Amino acid sequence: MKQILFDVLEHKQTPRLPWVPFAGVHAGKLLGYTADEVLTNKDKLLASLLEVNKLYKPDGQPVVFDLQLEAEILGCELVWAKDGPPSVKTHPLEGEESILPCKCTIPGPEDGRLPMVLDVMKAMKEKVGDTTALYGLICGPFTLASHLRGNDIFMDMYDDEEYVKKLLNYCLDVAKAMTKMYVDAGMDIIAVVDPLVSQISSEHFEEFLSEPFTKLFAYIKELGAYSSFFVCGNATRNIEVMCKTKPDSISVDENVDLVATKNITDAYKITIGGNIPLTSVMLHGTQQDNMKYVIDLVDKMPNKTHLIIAPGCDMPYDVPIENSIGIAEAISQMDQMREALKNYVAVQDNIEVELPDYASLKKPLIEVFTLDSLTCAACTYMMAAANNAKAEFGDKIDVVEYKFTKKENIARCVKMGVSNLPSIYINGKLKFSSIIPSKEELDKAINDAM
Amino acid sequence: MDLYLTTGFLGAGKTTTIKDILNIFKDKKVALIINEFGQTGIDGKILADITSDVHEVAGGSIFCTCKINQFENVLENIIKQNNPEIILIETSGLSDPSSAYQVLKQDKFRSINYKGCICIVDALHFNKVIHTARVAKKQVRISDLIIINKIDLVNFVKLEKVKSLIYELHPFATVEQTSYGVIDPSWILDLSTTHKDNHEINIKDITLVSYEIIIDPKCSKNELAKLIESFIEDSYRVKGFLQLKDGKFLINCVGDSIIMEEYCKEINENKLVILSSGRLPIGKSLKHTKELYPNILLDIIR
Repeated sequence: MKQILFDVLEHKQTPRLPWVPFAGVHAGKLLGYTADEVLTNKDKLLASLLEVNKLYKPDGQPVVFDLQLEAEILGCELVWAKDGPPSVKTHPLEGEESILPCKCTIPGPEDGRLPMVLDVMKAMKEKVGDTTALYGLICGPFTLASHLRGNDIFMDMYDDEEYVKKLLNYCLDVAKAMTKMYVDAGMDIIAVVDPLVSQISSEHFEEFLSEPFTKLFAYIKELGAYSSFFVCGNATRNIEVMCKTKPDSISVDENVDLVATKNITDAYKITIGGNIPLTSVMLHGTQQDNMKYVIDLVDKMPNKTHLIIAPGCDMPYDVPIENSIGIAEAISQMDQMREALKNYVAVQDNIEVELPDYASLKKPLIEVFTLDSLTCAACTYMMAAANNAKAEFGDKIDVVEYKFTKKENIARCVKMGVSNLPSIYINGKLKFSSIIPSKEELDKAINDAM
Repeated sequence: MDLYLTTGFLGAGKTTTIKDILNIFKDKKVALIINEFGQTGIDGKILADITSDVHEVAGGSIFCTCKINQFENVLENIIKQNNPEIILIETSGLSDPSSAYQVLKQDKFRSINYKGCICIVDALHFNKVIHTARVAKKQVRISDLIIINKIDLVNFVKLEKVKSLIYELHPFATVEQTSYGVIDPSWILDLSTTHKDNHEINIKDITLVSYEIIIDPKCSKNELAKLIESFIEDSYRVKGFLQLKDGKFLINCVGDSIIMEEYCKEINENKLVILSSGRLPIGKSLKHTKELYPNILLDIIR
């Protein structure tokens, strides 16, 4: 029930914890629709979301999970997929000219896919709005700036700070316009989704992002909605600076230690949400694995207030339906399920992976470990940095991506000791963990390995 | 009352064509709305010489695809106060005219009989703009009549290429061709809206950039031509009124042609407006021009 979620956001005691399944493109799977169908077709999206509502019994639910929606309106070309959200292929502001878009390009309700999205929001409000809190997801200013400017933005943060600030200010205006449209369409919670926040230092966060995010969360409050700051990747170092921007809640993925992080968010009286692992548990685990994960997560928490149970981020398309249903059950009947699962031991997959003989490589090997560079924005830009290096160094280096969505790559991560995604390893050594390197930094690391 | 929209990328020859259309309706009461670029109000000044009923929707920003509120207000006022038989709208060369069309669909404009959208295409530069300016494609796609202008400047092969590009974008378009913006009255009088299955979503072009350059009035016509030549390839349009050593001029450049016409009215600021895209190296070119002509080009403003 939505009131449980609102009460948690208001720091009140609740009979149980709220559950928010981030079923974005996964919603389509419930009715056999592909990812691109649910993100472009009003009727299919609405029917899929209603199915999520029926099967997963959410207290809160996102209407559309697509961080590329704003970017598409502003001229980024997208690559569409059947089993994941689209990814950005081209960046209109990439290149030598540091262009600031005119404010008259800020999206309105007739632009891009917004007519469809706003219609579905209104329909969801009417059909399930009495019982379910609805999340309107907007692309955060930093991720949007990266979509528009491409990997150049990581250089700009050193070379042209003023330009970055002005571009972020434009992206803040876009975010405000999106917020207004979504609140008007009935959204209760505005989630500012900015995965790339985990890929910069706290100093850069404070220099560039504190101001636009603080203004954005104040604006959401002013409009009478709750706010949430979604980040994925290892955002541990930035949790405190994120808290200072005053969102009502923060949502993190499995890269972040939820128990340790909650100590920080509790101190700021901010609700934390998370962080069921998307692939190793939700996608590849059994129903019991999922139920046990949630029960163990809650049991680990010394203080069980200010907490929302949710996946780490947008659920993979192919998550088995029974896994989410199991989580819903575990949350609603936690004591009974804890008893039922007390002797359950997860089955381990024994996949053998062979690591390269790093000592005898003829040229530097760049290994990029990602969740999936086609679906996770932070991974997209980490991979783009490696691909740009490949374009420059050519045959002098090898570049390979290991996506965490494949079981053998999970085994490889375990064997290599990869603890955070996305990461770049050069010749078997960790070089960049959750920080997207600028071109200069990556070039230097490669040259050092030559 | 009948309403016509005209569109076309910068420099395609819209203003000239509008002069011709005004001529077709010379016996009728016509109101002209211009979605002008820049504060210089150049097209407005030119057209005011032909018809007295000119309404400008101008503003601080040149790319305002349509200053919707202003446009709505202007249109409402015209209907109330002037009650014209014909309303002709010249949309800005950088704008997506479909936003103007959205306004017209409202109930309060029921008395308007929308006749269609006329797109002017520059035969010489169409191939270039279609590949750098997103909005140029949209202008063709949503129009009912497409007039290929300046056909005297291209050969048969190039003209055929332009036509095939147009048909690729809009297979059901009515296409006519001309030079100097001259139009056959029947093209306009027979205009009707074509049925278009437009499932295309609205997308903005955020790469457009504008610069203003301040020119020293001691500069001569020849010096100015050389100065403009040094960056013109990287611009879509250069326009402005200038006081030069040789007199007062209206400067009007498209593609690689520089036109300077004598001008007799007052000039407030000695500046040229340059429109371009971030996809072209215009910033670098202007910096280079400033190095070449430091005494003539006094300032670059963005």
